[in-house]
Amino acid sequence: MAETEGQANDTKDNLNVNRFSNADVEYEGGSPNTNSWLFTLDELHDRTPSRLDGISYEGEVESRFKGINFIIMAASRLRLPHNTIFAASCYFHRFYIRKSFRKYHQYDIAATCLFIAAKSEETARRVKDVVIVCAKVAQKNDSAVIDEQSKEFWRWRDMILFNELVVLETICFDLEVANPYDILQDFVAELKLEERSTDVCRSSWKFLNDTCRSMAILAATPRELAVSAIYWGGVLLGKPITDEPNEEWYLNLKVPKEKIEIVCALMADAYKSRTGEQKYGTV
Amino acid sequence: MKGRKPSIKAESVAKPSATNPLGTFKQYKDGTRVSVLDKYEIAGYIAAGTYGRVFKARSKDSRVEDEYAIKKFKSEKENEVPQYFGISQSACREMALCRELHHENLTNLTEIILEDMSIYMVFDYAEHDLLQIIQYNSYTLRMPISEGIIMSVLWQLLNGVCYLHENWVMHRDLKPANIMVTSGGVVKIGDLGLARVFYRPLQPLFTADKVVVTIWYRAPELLLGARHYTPAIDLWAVGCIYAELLSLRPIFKGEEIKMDNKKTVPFQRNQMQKIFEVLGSPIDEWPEVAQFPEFQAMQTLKTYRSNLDGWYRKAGGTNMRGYQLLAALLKYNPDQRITALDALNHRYFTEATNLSGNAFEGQDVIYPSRRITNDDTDIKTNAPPKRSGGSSGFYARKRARN
Repeated sequence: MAETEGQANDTKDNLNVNRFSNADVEYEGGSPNTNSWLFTLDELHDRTPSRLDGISYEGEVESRFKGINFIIMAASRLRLPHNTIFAASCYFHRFYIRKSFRKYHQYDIAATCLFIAAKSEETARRVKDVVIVCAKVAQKNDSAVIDEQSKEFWRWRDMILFNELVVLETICFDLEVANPYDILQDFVAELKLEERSTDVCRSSWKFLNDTCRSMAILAATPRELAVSAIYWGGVLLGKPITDEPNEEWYLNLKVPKEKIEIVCALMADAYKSRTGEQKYGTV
Repeated sequence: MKGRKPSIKAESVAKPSATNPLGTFKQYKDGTRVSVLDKYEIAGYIAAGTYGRVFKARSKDSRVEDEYAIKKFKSEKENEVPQYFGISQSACREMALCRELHHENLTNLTEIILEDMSIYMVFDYAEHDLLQIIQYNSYTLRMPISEGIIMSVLWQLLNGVCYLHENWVMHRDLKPANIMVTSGGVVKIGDLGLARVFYRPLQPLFTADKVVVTIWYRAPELLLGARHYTPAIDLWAVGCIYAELLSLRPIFKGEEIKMDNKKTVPFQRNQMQKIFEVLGSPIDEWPEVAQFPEFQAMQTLKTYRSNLDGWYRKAGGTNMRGYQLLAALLKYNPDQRITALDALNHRYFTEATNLSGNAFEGQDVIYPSRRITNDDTDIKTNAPPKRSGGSSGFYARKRARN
């Protein structure tokens, strides 16, 4: 830990500099953005700090799912937009690629990531408001009264402000996250998908919402996530994406099939987790 | 993949004690952490701003000869209560952007250190800044800045702004004090605390910051209450800086009307008037001006004839192309204002024979080093310094009298 801190700081210099010109970036097999927060399936399966700490893969997937659920519930109560949710989810997943769920509770980190993302995405919320919403979501009780003098209020408040620095340091101060929703919109326009089927568009968008819950964020670039979302939308509704007999439309968008498969596999793992099952049924 | 991955590694943290889990962790953490003072030797105090304080420092590692500017952020404060509210928005922005942006003409972030709930951002040190250069010429040399320096500085400044805009970042606080120049004559744009990404913003630019850009450098569309604005505001500021390099004093030196409450932004009548005095009324060249919120208020101002060429001659300007570039930067209509890229390719630069990447190349003038004070070298304290020392203090007072 001690040595990775400084090092990671130095090595992540060129991360995502190309974030805005995604559409023109040539695909080079690895990451077009030299995003060093991307990992292989093996790494995600067996070598995360939580796995090395004795937590099962399923256990980790479920904790992540729960944490992101927390972010989404709190964000909707704070009226935060989807890009803030996505950024918070990125911070959350990246945090646990370097720390174990044994040491940090998913709700604590979820709340902290949301607080930071609100600031970095220019949608800042007051600490007080974040604290109250988080306490309510954690209690699963929206009508709970959280007094500003209460022990609970101060526990959350101190926790968030303390962990803010821990999270920042752990995620190497990388706060700029490319937004896959914009890319999805571009692709939908490019493929004229809206005229073809609004349902496919809608389910793609929802799939993209759900990618936040899975480790797919750690395996694919926002561009690949967006393409996978369209792919999933088409498969789910049994609708072709283009007229061409060649089904591999995504190759034109310079995303290989293997990447889409990885994303879908990680998504399936998340849907299969116990919490996911209750929410979605098995896939 | 260019960067190495942050390695995945099991932690060997001592088991937290049941009584005070964070306490144990904190002890462990503090033990492993490199402290600012372990790594850097504070050479002196440079300046303070709304964001916090800046110190000059050297590495304690004797093999490293580089000098650094360490920026210590104040923590976020709400309601003036001395209480910790998390890291400030400006620290958050500067962190997020500086980690991604790398360019010859931007100040380079070396590292960020968190210690005792404070944020220290370590930047490469730059010996000069434009404010200091302007003041040296104005009060000590009493002569204009040589054209070679102006041209090189302006080109490099535009180069940095162009890079920012290409990456969809608006600086929103360009002014002489924020433009550094290294001893090698390389311009470094600094202070990204107000900078913002404007790529498809979901949040309108106006919501978070009601007021942007220091008043003398604020573009007319902002003064007129624009809710939506474009990177052209940075080019206006560049135009003002260019003018200030020529005449050694701010071209539009209006008096700021302070905001009495945080809700409403007052119309900066005096500032707008100063712009009118040089550029005349905008109505003819900018018909859309009638749609701005403060249009009615603007119409009550006294109008003048546009006289930028007269101003330029009076400031000692002789280069025709230089005047054309200045006029293009100080266009009222933001849609017609020159872009950073077009400005870089302007004939003022392309026709020049002596444009250099080193502003001081072939110059006789040697600018003095940045003044640092030693009465406040304690980087660890939170108290603001008692008096406004640093290079700007002395001149700032003198300047105010003029």
